[in-house]
Amino acid sequence: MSSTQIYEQHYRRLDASIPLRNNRWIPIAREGLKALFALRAYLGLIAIAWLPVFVRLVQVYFTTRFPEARRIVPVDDKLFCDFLGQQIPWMLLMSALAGAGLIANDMRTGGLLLYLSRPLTLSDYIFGKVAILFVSLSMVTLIPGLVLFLGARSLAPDVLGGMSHLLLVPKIVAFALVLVLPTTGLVLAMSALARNARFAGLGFFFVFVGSTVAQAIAWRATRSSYAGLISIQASMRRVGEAIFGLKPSRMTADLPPEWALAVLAVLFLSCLVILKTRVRAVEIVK
Amino acid sequence: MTARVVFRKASRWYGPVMALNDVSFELGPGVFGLLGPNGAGKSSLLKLACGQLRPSQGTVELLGRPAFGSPEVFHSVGLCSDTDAFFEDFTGLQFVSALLSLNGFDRAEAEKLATAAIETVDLKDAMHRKIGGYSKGMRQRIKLAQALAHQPEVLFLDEPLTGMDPQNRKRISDLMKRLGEEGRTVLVSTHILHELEQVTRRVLLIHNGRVLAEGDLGEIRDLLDRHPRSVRLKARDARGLARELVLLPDLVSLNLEDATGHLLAEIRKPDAFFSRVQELSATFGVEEMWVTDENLESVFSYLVRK
Amino acid sequence: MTTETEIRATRPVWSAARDVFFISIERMLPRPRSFWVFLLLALPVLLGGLLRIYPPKDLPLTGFELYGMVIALFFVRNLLPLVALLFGSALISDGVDSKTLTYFLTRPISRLSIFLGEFLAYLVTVLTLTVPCVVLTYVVLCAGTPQGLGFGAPNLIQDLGASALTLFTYGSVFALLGVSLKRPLIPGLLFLFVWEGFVANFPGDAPNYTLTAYARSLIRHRPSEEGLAELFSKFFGVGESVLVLGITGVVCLALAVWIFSRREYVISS
Repeated sequence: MSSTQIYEQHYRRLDASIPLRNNRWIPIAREGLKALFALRAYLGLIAIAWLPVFVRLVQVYFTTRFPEARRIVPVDDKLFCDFLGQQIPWMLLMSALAGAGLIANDMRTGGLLLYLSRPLTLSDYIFGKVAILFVSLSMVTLIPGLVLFLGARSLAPDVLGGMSHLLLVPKIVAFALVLVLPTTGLVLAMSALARNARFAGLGFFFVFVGSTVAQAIAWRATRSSYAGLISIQASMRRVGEAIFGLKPSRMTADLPPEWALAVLAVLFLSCLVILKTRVRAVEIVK
Repeated sequence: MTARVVFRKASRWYGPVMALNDVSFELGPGVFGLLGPNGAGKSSLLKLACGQLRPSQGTVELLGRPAFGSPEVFHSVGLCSDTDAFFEDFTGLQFVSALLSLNGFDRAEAEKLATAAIETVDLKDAMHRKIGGYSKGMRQRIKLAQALAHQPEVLFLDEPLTGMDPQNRKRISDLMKRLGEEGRTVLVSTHILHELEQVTRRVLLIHNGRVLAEGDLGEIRDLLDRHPRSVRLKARDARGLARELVLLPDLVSLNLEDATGHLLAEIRKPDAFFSRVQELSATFGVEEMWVTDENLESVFSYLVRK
Repeated sequence: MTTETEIRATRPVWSAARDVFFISIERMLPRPRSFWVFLLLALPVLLGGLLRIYPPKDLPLTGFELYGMVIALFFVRNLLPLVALLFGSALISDGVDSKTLTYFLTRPISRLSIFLGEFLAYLVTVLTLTVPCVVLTYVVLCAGTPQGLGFGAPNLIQDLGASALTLFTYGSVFALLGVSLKRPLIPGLLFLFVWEGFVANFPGDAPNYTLTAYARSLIRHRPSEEGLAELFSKFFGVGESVLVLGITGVVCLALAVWIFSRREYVISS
């Protein structure tokens, strides 16, 4: 009689459980950021994106020397709101550079399988990638915003030194989150939809720029502030103006900020749904 | 001999990394094995040979022309590269036909040649399916088909048997042999020795960017007489045979294996050793003799040994 | 030592380019990315349809004026350069990324043929995506208006020419970036949004050094500019614009071919 054992071939469930470690996304984020910080282009982009901070600080310094200049360039909430709004182009470039390939490259090369062959869940993977982009985008929005606040406060203590002005910190954080979170979601969704980083990056630009241009046209055709809801950028700016308590710009004058925020929230949640459904370890060949 | 691929003192480096160092050889008709471990410089050599890279120094000629910048030679050259890259949305037939159209064949002719090449690699049943849905072995075979389809005089095959099942390995190995017998030049790159042994005895051994040896495997081995060769002998009176052999001046070592009763000899001058064994064979009942290291593995191990 | 094999000449440029074109168009046009780009380019058709179905009270623009704004702002100034960046920069670099360029480089065809074939495929692809969207936008916005379809028909033809020239010129510029750089995306975006976006609206002669200033000058029925653009926008004559865009496109193409012909592409597994 042969000694070869014939085993049953049906699926057997392993009745054992190994507790997963906490914060499993951290190594993904850490390694991703390490790889990005090794890129000269990434560091260069951060350096360029920080130039406006110094320009603004010079502006604040100028107003301390010539107080009458504050009538033209006031040092108040608008300064910080405008600053963050002007960081949007750098945030877009950073998204294309740092975010476009985050998932697309893994999907194309089968790297996702490597991740999921470790004790990681799909959510850990997505969260790790979100963290990479969140940090990258914060490097050109939130962090320079806060540095600008600290710099301006020390340069112009008579204007920004009071306790009441500390409220600017949560405002800067809130507006930065409004900028960074939907952008992070959109870039990662694009990265999950395209298998090529270049197409993901450009797809993101198409949506961002396309929606802004469409809004400009719709506004000029209808003169309706609600056209702002078409544009991601206009919605972001409208929410930002509301956070800083500023008068809305002409094209979104009558647009309720809650609506703009709802559009951004829906966009972010839709992107998460796309990520959840698109990011799979197995490619289905039709 | 007609040289179709000629390297003259060719070197190639990528920045500070030297991929090939002062390589010279000529290849005529027949199958040649390009052998070396991963990172030895095989792929760089093939890329130079088929004109994808320029030599940093020296010259590389393909069919009498400089390999780089002479697209006309590709009427008669086929390349099966090591990259797993295809026009994924094309069917196998579309893929091979499309590439044949670039060789100047009209549509009907291209389809005819493509079908024939696909048949050769036994992929006819799948030729109307998209390449994106092919298995690894099928992808390898369709890549081979595109290299063969225009019946080139010179074929460069980079790891051609990767991912194939044993049946197809045999089929493709036979095909390579046949192409060599037809007078084509086939340069097969591999790091799997036994694959190559089934196809050719003519090899080019490469390591760290240098060609270590070139020629027939046996000839290469003969050049290495300074390196002792291992011979295993089975004899009725192994101890008696050992007493005689130990007197040979070029014997390096001699062991009697207790378990098998075989004699293991390490010798420097094989011809003299074999003659002496011949003389003694009747007396001591020599039944069998194997040269245990005359395969690519042992030659290669010896050559690259530090 | 010589060879016995008789070598035939490299294939004629145009015949080889035609064969490369057929392969490349098959790999460019029926792809998901083309479908998504088409949907985005068709956005004005959707917006126009909504405006026609639900016309706002006191619409300040006629359908034809609105169409002029769409062609100038949406197509020529923003989306077509992006489309050119998407497809143009991918011409050769896509082959390098997907490692399929080797199949072209190991055939008896010159690199000029490869480049021309791919560039023609690019032009046909982007025009196939753009022309229906421009025409449909015109039809949706102008049909049934008091001015009717006939009123702006000559402008529509001119706009299609302007779109084609914009795609040609930007496509050449980005093809040049694609063959020269390993990662053309960020430099391409910087060019589009920093150089073209800002410099075109600078005062003085600065707009002379941007392509968008010439491209927008080709749209003769554009609406008036607003904001800073209204103050500083500079416009050129049609002949001058066509000449500058055409020459820039041809020069960039020639440079791209020159670089592609000399460059080594290290494609490995």
